[in-house]
Amino acid sequence: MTNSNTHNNDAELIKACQANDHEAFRLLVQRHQATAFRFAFRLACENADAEDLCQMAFIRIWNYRQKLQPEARFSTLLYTIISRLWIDTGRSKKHRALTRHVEPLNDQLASNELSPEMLSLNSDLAERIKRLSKKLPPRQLLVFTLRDLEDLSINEVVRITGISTAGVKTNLSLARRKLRERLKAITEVSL
Amino acid sequence: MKHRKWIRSIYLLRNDELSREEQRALDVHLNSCESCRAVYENIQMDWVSVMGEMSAQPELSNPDLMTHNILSKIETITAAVVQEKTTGFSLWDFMFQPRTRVTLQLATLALLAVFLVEQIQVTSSLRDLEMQLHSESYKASHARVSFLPKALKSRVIVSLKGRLEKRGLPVGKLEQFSGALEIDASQLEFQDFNKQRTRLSEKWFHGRSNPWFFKGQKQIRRQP
Repeated sequence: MTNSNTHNNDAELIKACQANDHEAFRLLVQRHQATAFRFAFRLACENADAEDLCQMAFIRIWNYRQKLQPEARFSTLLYTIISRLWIDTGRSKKHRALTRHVEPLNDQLASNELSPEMLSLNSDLAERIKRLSKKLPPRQLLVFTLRDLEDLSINEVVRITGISTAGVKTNLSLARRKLRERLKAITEVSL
Repeated sequence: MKHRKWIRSIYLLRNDELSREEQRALDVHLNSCESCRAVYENIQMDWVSVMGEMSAQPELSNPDLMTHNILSKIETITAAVVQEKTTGFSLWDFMFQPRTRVTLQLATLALLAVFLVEQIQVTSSLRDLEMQLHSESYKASHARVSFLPKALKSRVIVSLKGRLEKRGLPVGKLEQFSGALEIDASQLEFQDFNKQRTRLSEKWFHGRSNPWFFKGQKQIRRQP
């Protein structure tokens, strides 16, 4: 499916959601939850926190569905909401767990879902991100994640973060420099 | 670091991050400055490692469970909204509706305006009446007190009488005037609240509760 087709379908699904169609919203969630989780995980560095962020973002989208513009890119909206939620909940500063907004997992489901390889892959990545981005201010981490890891354009980053173009560029440059210096320092210590 | 501004640009050397002019200027500088070129080359090499560390794709462990959680939460919210609509009126929501807030604000402003107008009317009526009473040809209809409610009119007259008496002026005209305004003459007893208050405090001071009282300058203790 091409990008434009996905976009058109998203617009139709958003219109259906505005008419209270739960099935359309299910399709939207299924289509975008992987992207949302990937982005949230890179910010929160925790499986549970990333899932919480995604769920809260989708619930917020449902609550404000009547104000959505179907023509706008759904992924941009999702990135915007997740980044605002991440900043609002103070995860950026403390990396602490949120009050859970979902029902506790059924034990059987929980044991079925978490394969050990997947867990270790995610926790390795989380460790690496935490280690490198330890001293990175939230704004710089956000801009870096959006631009370099999610591969969005500068204009999209500007739209999502609400920072000016010059501000985005400055934050990006600083983030890249700090990450590189941090990686160098870690490598030197391990050698 | 000697070339700080170039270092910032070197870190932004990707597709659309530098404008054409900036990129051209950086190219010229890199051709001429050996230290910046070395930094640029180092950054390019290190960048591969940074991206290698961070660009792995985290996997969502159970997509179906997440979808299920989100949709069940949404169904709960929808059910709560429907129940609220059917159960009817919520005072809290009603108070915070924009229309209610605006109405309450307007009502408050209106009450404040009425209070201010009344204060201004009473003050100006008192002044007018005083002037009228000192003029040779006064008429009750000339005084702006005539449009005040009856209870307020008598209060204005009583207060004015007090003022006149205090200044030693005759109050005969005022009694005629109150007759023209159909106010009961018995209401024209001036209530000197200050005097009344003094009397009350004296009574308390010399009352039974306090064993001490003054007789002239002398303080005397009451005998039980």
